[in-house]
Amino acid sequence: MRSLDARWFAERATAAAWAEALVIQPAFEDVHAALDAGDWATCVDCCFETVLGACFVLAVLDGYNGAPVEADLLVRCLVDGSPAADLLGRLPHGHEARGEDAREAVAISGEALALVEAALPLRVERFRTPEGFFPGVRAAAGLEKLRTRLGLPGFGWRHFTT
Amino acid sequence: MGAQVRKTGLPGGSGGPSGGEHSAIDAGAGQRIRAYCCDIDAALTRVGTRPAAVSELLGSIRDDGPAFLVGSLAAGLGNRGSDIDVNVFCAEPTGEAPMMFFLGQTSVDVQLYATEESRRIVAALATDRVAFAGSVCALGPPPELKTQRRISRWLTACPFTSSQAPVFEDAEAELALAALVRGALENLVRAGYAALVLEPLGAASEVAWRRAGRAVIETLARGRGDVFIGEKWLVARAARCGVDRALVRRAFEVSCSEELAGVLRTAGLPQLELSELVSLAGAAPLEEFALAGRSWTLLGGARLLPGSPGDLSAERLASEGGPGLAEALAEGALAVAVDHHALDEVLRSCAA
Repeated sequence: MRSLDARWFAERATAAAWAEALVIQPAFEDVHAALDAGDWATCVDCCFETVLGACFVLAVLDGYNGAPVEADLLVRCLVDGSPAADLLGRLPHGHEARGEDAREAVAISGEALALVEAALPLRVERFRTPEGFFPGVRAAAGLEKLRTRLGLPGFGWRHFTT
Repeated sequence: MGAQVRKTGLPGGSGGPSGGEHSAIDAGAGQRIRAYCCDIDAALTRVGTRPAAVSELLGSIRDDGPAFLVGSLAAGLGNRGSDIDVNVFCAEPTGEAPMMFFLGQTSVDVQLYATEESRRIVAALATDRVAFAGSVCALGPPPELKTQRRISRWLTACPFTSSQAPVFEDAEAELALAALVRGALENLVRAGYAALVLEPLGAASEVAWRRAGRAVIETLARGRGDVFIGEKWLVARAARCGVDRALVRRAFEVSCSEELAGVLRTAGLPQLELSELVSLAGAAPLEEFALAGRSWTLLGGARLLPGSPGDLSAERLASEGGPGLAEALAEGALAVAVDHHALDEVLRSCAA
């Protein structure tokens, strides 16, 4: 049994887990919706958003405090040369994409998700679904309790509101 | 610490043709935007439901004020897996946090806004504008990205009932469109500059150049009135608003500054001297610490970087070139800002 640094968990790991729930999960749902619709171009572009989301989550885990603004995030993750950033370079582009391009992009997105899953100590499962929403709310309440106990301010949700 | 703001001095871009000599009035903006919107029945059919079912789900929230379907479905995009996004304008909104409902497996996100919010946003927009990309572009900075998204949703909003007035009147829509075109152009500058900064890293910069190429297409689409901000729908939007397919392909395959310049030229957009259109500023407070005989910089009270704050001077990093600038930006020690005045000058000269 190994302990986790509680402050790291409450700060970095939790922020990354919520970024995964609110950025990657919807993007990956969009991937499959576009795939089901046979909209290959949109599917490929959703895969880019998923992989970029993975770059964001891994950067947050590593201390990135910025918003998921694309130009800033690209600089951050391409300078780092992280495995997730390498995946961005392997993605096909959406224009005139065919089914095989879309399936290749989905496979690359899957690799990005695996990197995130391996790195995160907690996950907020399927937050934007009827089954996952209330467990997610309870997870948020638990997080706030832990942050209060550790003397941390409330979690910043601003990046994720529209 | 508010570090000095300065031009970057990186190489980039080249001279080229201008955008045309149109009047800065775009009276047809509202009509052009509406051509890319959907009626609410058709929009909700795409997710297998009807307005009455959504109204029933929302219950008394519908009594709070006029409700609009917004988002990809309202903008004539979306698919069976899309969320249903609803904005309600009411006298006393309870806050900006969205409420989430479910209609079967489809999530329904509801957000309340104050009745006067759309007027407030338009009142804060730049009013000076010039002809650009077959449309108009605002002179002066665009609103922040979150506000741009909000504007794009409201420009493409579907009212729940036919008696409702649109969120923006035509005159407001014209100003809003000009702001969104400006937003797209500034995003293009930022994306292009990011690619330029990454160039010393070699192949990694190709991803960034491709994104800059896409930003050209986004700018063209917005100019044509297809304003819905949703990166994943760009291919569909470019096709439906008639951007030349060969140009889209070239834009999506941009891999260096010369190719970006070529795409801009073909698109009839002005050339962009990227490094002259941005400023660099210290992004976070920098404090020097001597620890065990070494100098460190505490960045934003949270991260330690080896070296003294002087090593992170924007002026020095920009003039040195190489990977140091990219690393400082990646660490958040420096931030990029578009130089609004410099971009205004580009816009004025191409409209003249």
